[in-house]
Amino acid sequence: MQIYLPIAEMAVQIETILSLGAVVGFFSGLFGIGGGFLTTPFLIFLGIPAAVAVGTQSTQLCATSASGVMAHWRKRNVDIRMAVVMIIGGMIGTILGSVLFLALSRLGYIDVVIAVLYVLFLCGTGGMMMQESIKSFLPRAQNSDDKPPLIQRNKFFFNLPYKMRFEQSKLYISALIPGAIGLMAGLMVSVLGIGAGFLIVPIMIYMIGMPPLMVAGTALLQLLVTSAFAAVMHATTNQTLDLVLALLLIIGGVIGTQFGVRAARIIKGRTARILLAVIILGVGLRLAADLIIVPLDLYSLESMR
Amino acid sequence: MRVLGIIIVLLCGLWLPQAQARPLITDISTTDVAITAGFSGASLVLFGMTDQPDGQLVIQVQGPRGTEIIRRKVNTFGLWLNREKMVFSNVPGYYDISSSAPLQDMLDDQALMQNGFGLDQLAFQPEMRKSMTEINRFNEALIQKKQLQGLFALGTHQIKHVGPQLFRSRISIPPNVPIGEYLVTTYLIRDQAVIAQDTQRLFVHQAGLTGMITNFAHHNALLYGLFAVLLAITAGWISNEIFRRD
Repeated sequence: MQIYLPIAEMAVQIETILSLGAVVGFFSGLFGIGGGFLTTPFLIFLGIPAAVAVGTQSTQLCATSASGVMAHWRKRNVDIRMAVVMIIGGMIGTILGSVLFLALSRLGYIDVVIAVLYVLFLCGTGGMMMQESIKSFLPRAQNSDDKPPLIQRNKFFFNLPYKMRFEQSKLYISALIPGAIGLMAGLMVSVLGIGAGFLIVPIMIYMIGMPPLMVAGTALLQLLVTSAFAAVMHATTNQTLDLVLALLLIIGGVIGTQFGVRAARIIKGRTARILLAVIILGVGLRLAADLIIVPLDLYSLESMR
Repeated sequence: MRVLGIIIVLLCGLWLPQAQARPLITDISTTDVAITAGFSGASLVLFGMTDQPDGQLVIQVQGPRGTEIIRRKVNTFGLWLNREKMVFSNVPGYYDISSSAPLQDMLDDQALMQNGFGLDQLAFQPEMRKSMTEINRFNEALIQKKQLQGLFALGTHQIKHVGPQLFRSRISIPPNVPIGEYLVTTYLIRDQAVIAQDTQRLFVHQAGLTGMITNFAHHNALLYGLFAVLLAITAGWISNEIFRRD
């Protein structure tokens, strides 16, 4: 069945958008990521203007992260203190990001920067996670788990000021570390239009040493606030939020998320990680291929009205 | 019903003396195309009457004009990136043409150019300070892109003659058309020259829920954004309650 999107000014197949929302929602519930890196390229592939795709998918991030936060909340898997510190960093990052976005647009480098950063981030994290997961399947994997996380081993991170006690995560670390992670996430939301969960989650697990279940809940709360902020920003500054498209993505997304959260109990940690690594690496390599292989159509059109 | 009404009016017009004073009269089955949630394109009929049975006809449909940016990927350090672009203004958002005979048979090249008939004659306003070959290359790509989107005619449609003085043509509006005012102009041609023309205005607009959403988004952007966020969070919460398994 077809439905007309008022802001995108085009008709789409309802089933396609619902399934996209459901698939992304499933991964969101399973891994505690937003999945913007999956939604945005696919919406653009369907012919939806890039600005509308980025502007709209932030509301889907809102819905899936809200649903996920509530599920984790009941199990006390949200470190509010950590989330607040990350959100403060995130707000600063979002504002810095929009300034950077404007500066790069003026210089005419924004397309290049977005294309290259997308590939670098996706292939980089995907590759690292893949390496990590393969190692965990090897017999001598145990001793790598015994190693303390980076911030406890490294003198520089250990000696940073403004130490805070994060009771729920059982950590005593400098507030600058989660603040910087939030800032980086905020930068990526406003420049690349992605929630960057796939980057934040591994950093919090491997570098900070937060309990993985706590990471998912906390990252989702941080994502909820950042994406809500981004959605309102897109609606007011560019008017690129399509409510009909958002609603379809949300309906598919919230259903998918619940199944993802359930699947997270069945799928073991390292299997889930290898699955996520495959997905991230797949999208990254696909986008890399678009950059390297001679395009069938060199031209692209953007209508201004 | 409306089409029948037009036919009756036109047939009556044949016998009215004042109608005979105008060599060309046209009307369309509707002047108002409403885009609602289920919109999948529209089809209208243009009817016309002329007092010149041996005259030739051309009908052009042009959508609201806007600016188009066309970009070309260039290989830079092994990567295909959008590095060249051209901005065209005054580009119609929709273009369709039909005629009663091949265009070249009824008008010479100069007359075609003067009247702006055909895709090659659409007067896009290119950006200054670009070479002619560059402009032509981008112009050609722009037309191809628009044809691929179904917004520019692939060729010239045939106008149907219902009788010696009466003619009919179908106007198809695809689902992805830009909203705004469309001009449907009919030209009467005789002896290699346009001797009369008649223009009908067509309004393509969003209506119903679709129109309400667009209005909300444009006139109350902050509230609209907050509403979308609230809706998203509520949906997340509801799904959580439904799927809850304690």
